[in-house]
Amino acid sequence: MVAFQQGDHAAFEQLLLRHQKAVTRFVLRFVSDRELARDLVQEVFTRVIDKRASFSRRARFTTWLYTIARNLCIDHHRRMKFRRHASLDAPRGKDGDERTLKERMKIEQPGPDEQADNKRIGERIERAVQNLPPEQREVLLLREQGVAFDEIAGMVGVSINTVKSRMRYALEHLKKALEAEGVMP
Amino acid sequence: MPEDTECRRADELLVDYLYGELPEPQKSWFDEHLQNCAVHAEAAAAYGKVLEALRDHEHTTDLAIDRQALVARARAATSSGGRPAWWRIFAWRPVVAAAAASLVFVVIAVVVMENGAELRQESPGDGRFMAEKVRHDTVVLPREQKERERDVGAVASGKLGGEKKTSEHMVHPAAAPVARKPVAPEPIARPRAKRARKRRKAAVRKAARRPERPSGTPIGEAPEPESTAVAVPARPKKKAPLARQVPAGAPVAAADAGESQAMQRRAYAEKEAMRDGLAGETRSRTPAARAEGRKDVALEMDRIGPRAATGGLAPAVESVDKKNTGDCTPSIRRARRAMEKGEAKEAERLLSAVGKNCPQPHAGTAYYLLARLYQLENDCPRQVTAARRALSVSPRDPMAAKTLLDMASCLVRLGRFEQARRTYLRVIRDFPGSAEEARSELRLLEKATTGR
Repeated sequence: MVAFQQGDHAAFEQLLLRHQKAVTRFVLRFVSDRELARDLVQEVFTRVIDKRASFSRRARFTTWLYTIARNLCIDHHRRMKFRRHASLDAPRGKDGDERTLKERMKIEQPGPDEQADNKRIGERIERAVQNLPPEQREVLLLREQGVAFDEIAGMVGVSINTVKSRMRYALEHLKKALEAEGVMP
Repeated sequence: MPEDTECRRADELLVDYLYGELPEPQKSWFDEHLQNCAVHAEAAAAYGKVLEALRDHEHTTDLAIDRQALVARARAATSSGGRPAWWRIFAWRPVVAAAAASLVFVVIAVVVMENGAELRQESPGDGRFMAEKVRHDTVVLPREQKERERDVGAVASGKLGGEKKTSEHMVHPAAAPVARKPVAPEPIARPRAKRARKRRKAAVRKAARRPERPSGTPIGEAPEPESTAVAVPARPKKKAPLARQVPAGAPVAAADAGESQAMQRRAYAEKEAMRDGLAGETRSRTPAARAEGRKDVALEMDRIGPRAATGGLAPAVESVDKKNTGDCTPSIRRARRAMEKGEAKEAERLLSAVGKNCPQPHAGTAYYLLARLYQLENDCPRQVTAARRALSVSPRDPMAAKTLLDMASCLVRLGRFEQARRTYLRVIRDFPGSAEEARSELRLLEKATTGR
């Protein structure tokens, strides 16, 4: 990143190669919509280019990158709240912890070999992640991308103990959801 | 939720254990605990499976983002719109500006001091003449002419010493016309002028080093120090060194002899009381203490009341100094430094000492810092104890809201959900600035506890 800041555009290509997959994974799990995720990832790296001067050498690049990605996802989440029409992907229920319309439509036609189908298990896990409250989801996803708890605390603006508590809740929720879906015994 | 201490500790460490972030002794302890505790063994296994499932079933990450557009944008930003490598020096703009300003200031100061010292030595007390002198020195003159003018100037200024100075007197009659008509510089003139200036400066420095001796005093005998009239001192600034706080009449000699700060303060306070003729009177000694800058002494005098009437300021000063035996502020500063360095034991020792020995607000600050230290150390039971003590000592401290939130979070991790809930409610009620975070945490807590 420092090389890119100093004018080496080839360094940006390296950054893109190294981090694109991880950022995509994070954004995709956060928003659970491939089209939207593609736009957001594009926007993340556009911001990396535009805001390169604001990157400080003292910070870790990944922390800075995931801060941008997280902020974009949160902004998107906020915008979704003001949409009038019911989105198929929008979380439903008071706290967004009910299933989306798309998920309900899917769940109505379960196949006989669902348990064995790896793809379907993946979908159920994604659904469980989507149903987590946003505060817990972001902590879980950031930690899964290798961001340390203290860095997450700095990004989210809460104490490290709060971050760990949210992580614990997230795991508890996921465990229950996966048990209910039959993914875990 | 298990209640015994081991399980509480295991609760605190569980998330770190799952991510393999526990240091070795704690990890061994946790492994051992899992052998004996079915609840945690089951939880760790289940959470481990959840994480494994998450990692095994990741989305395919080959989204077709427009890489070409991004690379083109990056190239454009770094070439035409981008700044060249040397531009990054301006990232330090504030620092460069400050350094440049300091440099300019220092150069100006040196030049002014140089000229000032020179002119003071040669012609004291006549501003116009000095100005003329500066102008004169900048124009290179033959050496003889310059010296002659200087001699005449000295005579003139000596004559005019006691008289009212007029503009005619101020401009040297001989120097002015010569200055207006500069002579072409001789090649040797400038080095000579420089040498002369150097000689004069050396003489000034020598004179400054030599101790002044009154005319009647024989050489080798130190002169009597001039006695300074004792005046009521202005309230000293808080952070000024003690030598400045003690005025001319105070026992400076004692300070030189290495007496402690407390001794100096006491002696000065006594002297103040005596000077003001306040011995035996209580009421006006409080202002005397205030004038000394010792609010704590003034408060103590108010507290002691009639007892102070017999002993002057000394009892109050002694009493306050006894309370301050822990040397509170420096200890807190040292503890903060230790916390920054990660020296938890040292910080804990210092903060505990301040908490026990020091009066307010030091004790409150120490307990808040102690709570923060334990929170950073993941020592939740102690965090809760220190936070409670801090809140009881100083409930309106600026750190109170953050400490309460940390405490609630610790209580959750300890499984004391009801207490955590009450703590969040307290934050919502008493600290509007942190109410939003508390509300959000409370919602999560209630959802988690009702789901159990």
